Parts: sequence; C-alpha cells; structure tokens
Amino acid sequence: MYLMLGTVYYEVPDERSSEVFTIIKAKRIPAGDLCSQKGTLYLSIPYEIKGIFERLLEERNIYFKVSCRKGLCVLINRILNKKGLLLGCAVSYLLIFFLSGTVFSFEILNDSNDVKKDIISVLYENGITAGYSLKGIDLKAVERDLKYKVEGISWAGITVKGCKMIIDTVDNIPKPKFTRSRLPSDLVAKENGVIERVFLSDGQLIKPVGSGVVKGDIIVSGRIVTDRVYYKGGVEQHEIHKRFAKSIGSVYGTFERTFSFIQPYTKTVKIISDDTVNCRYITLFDAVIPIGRRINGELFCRNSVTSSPSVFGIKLPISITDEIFEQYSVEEVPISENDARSEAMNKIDVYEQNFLSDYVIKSRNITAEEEEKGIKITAVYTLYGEISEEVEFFVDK
Amino acid sequence: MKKISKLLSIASGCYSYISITSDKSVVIEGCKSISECSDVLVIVGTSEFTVEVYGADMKLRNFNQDSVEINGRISSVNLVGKKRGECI
Repeated sequence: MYLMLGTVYYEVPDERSSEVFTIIKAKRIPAGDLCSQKGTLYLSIPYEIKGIFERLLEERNIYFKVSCRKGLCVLINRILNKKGLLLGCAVSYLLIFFLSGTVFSFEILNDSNDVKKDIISVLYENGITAGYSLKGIDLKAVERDLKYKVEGISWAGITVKGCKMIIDTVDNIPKPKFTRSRLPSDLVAKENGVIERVFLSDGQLIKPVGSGVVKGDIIVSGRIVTDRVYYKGGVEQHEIHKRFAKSIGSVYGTFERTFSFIQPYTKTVKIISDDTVNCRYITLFDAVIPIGRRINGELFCRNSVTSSPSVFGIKLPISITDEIFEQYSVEEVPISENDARSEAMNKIDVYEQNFLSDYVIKSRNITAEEEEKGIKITAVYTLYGEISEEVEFFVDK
Repeated sequence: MKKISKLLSIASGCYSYISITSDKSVVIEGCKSISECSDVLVIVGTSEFTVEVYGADMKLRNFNQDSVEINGRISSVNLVGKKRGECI
C-alpha cells in the first residue's frame, strides 16, 4: 500500500538507534532495511509517511540524513522541480480543452471558386467561421442548408478532423436544355440588317439568305402552310394545310450599331489624403484575429503586408498581417483635350468588351466632335452575329 | 507459580513465536525491542528471551506490529534467557 510513490532511505547516528526503534514501534511505522553499520543506522521508509517520520525525528532532536530516494517519488520530484515543463503541460491541456471543438481551417473539395465562396457564406450564416466553437451546431442541418442554398452542388458532406473542417461536394450533373413552353413561335429580326446564314430545325423560312430585314420582321414563321395542288375534272384544286410549330434555329447576319456619348473635359479621380490608419491581424490557420480597431469604411484604400514565419523552410500556419488604410476623396479634375480623347477611347474599349463581345466587329467608324461641354464621340459598328430572337404567339380558335 | 505465569502470558498474547522459514529469513513475533541490528548480529528482545541472530548482510524489515523479519544469510539463532529484573 505504501509502495506506490517509492521509498526514502535514511541515515541516523547509531547512538540514537534505540530511540528510532522506539518511534518505529510506538507509531507503527513500516520501516524496512534496518541495519547498523559503522556507527550509522540505515533504514528505509515509504515516501507516503516520510513527513510524519521526519517530524517525529525532529521532535526528539535526532539528526538524520536522507541518503537516497527510489521509485515514483524521484520522477515526481524531478517533474515538480521543472516549472517550465509543468507550465507547458498546463497550457497544452488548456489549449486542447478549449480548442477541441473549434474549427480553424476549412477545406472545400470543389474546383469552382464561386461554389467555395457560396459554401463559406452559407457556413457563416449558420455560425461556422474560423475560430468559433462547433458546440451546439447541428452539422446535418448545415449539410442540408448547403444542398439547398449553394447552386452548382447536388450533395454536401461535412467532416471535422481536429481543427479542420472538410466539406465534400458533388457537382450538379448538367441536364439537357429543353423548353417547357408549348406555344408556337416565330424567329423575328432584332436588328436592321442582311441575312447571311440560317440554321433551321423547325419552322418556315420567310426571308431567304441575302435579303434585308427590318427590326421586327418575321424571318422564320411558326405558321407552316402547305398548299397541295391537284386537278379534279380538269380544274386546279388547292388543298391547304396549316400547322403551327415552334421555330427552332438561328439566323446570322450583318447589321450596324451606333454608340455615342459625350466625354466632358473633366475626370473623376481619387485623391488620397495623408490620414492613415494601421490595423494588425494575427492569422492562425483560417482564423483572423484582429489586434486593435477594425476599419469598415468605403472611402479607404487598403494596402496589406503579410509576414509568416517559417522553420527550416516549412511555412507555419500563423502569420501577421499589417493593413494600412488610407483615406481618400473623389473629385472632378479638369483635363486637356488630348486626355479627354484618350479617356473616350478607353470608354469605347470598355463598351466593346461589355456589349459587343458576342459579335464579330467587321468595321468601326469613330468620329469626334468638339462641343462646349466636351467631346462628342460617335462610333458606328458593322457587326456580324445573330439577328433573330424567338417571339411566341397565340393561335386563334 | 511459574506455570501460572506461563499460562497467563499465553492467555494475554505475550508469547513469542520464532519462525525460521529458511537460512535467509527469520520472523520473530512478540518482539519487544531491538538491541542491536548490525549486518552480522541482530539482537531482538522478547518477553521471555533475548534472541540473537548471527549471519551476514542482515537487515530488518516490517518492524512495526510486535514482529520483525530478519533477512540475510543467517548462520545461527541463539535464545538467551533473561535474568530476573532485567528491563525489557
């Protein structure tokens, strides 16, 4: 029973040995290895009653010396003497205890960045962000929420491994395009132009290739009329059949489009002031911990510098980000005529990228007129592309 | 008279028992005192005798509840009768 923590070995002067024996016998101390050699009494006491035995010796002014310790008590003493080790163990235990249910990083098994962003936003709606505890969060409900709210996935599964949340997804299988509308339709010209190419699956072509069309003209009709001519008794007879169809096809042609605008002799510029605000964040895995105040203003320019330490070339999952917010204001600044022209050309390029990317630009004629307010730019484009659109119609009874 | 005192001591549990289990261990029950415990000689006092155990590398164990275990290489156990009036 007393051998759990080990044994302490004592040396006592031999002339006081009788008193030691009396103490052992009177207090029923389980002494062992009693032996008297060269004027010294050697004995051993279990570590558990070391304090009692030493107190009894001190009460009787018996000099004693601890010669050695054996057993678990030696290890315990060594550990207790190392405060750093104890502190480290305590900190580790507390970290494990508090961070056991906390997510610090996310791994989304999907290639699409849009899907990843949607998943992160749905997780945020459900209270799951890096650095927050998962206690009280129903992951099955979150999985269902992901399936309903995130477009592009048909299944989502959440696995938590330590401090990492893995979200596995299955992409939607693209369904073949079909229309539910059963109404017949025409293909109508949406631009004034010349038909150059026709791809037709159903419907009756009204305007052949090479003919000009005005916006709104029916190019392919959904009213298919067949006229069967036959002779009865030497008289020409007409048997007219009429059926309605959904016009399916594409009509390509060349058309013109004009785009004009006025470029004023001013330009909107961003003027950055000298007022700066510094913010610092500690990033631990995916968790961002702000130090100091946070800036959530629109009129701030943000420059950020991230420094992450590495040990032997291995990047650690902790980094410090310094963000410098520079306040700015928006002002109208006068510009020269040449600058206005170059600004206008930039706008034309932007227009072409945004609105004419579906067409082939055959030619472009740009004219500039100086006006009081600015330069009036007129761009006339000759384009090649689809000039038809589907227009449904109702059948009269 | 001697017989009566002997019977009384048996009845009161003050009798000593000596068990020599092997040449390495001797257990003395009813031990009252230890007079000497060197590595070659252990002298243990009981109510009736003084037990002298000779040997080598001897050590005492479990000296707490009126008994003591002597371990070592035991060569002889002598029982020395106490003189009248000797303090135990």
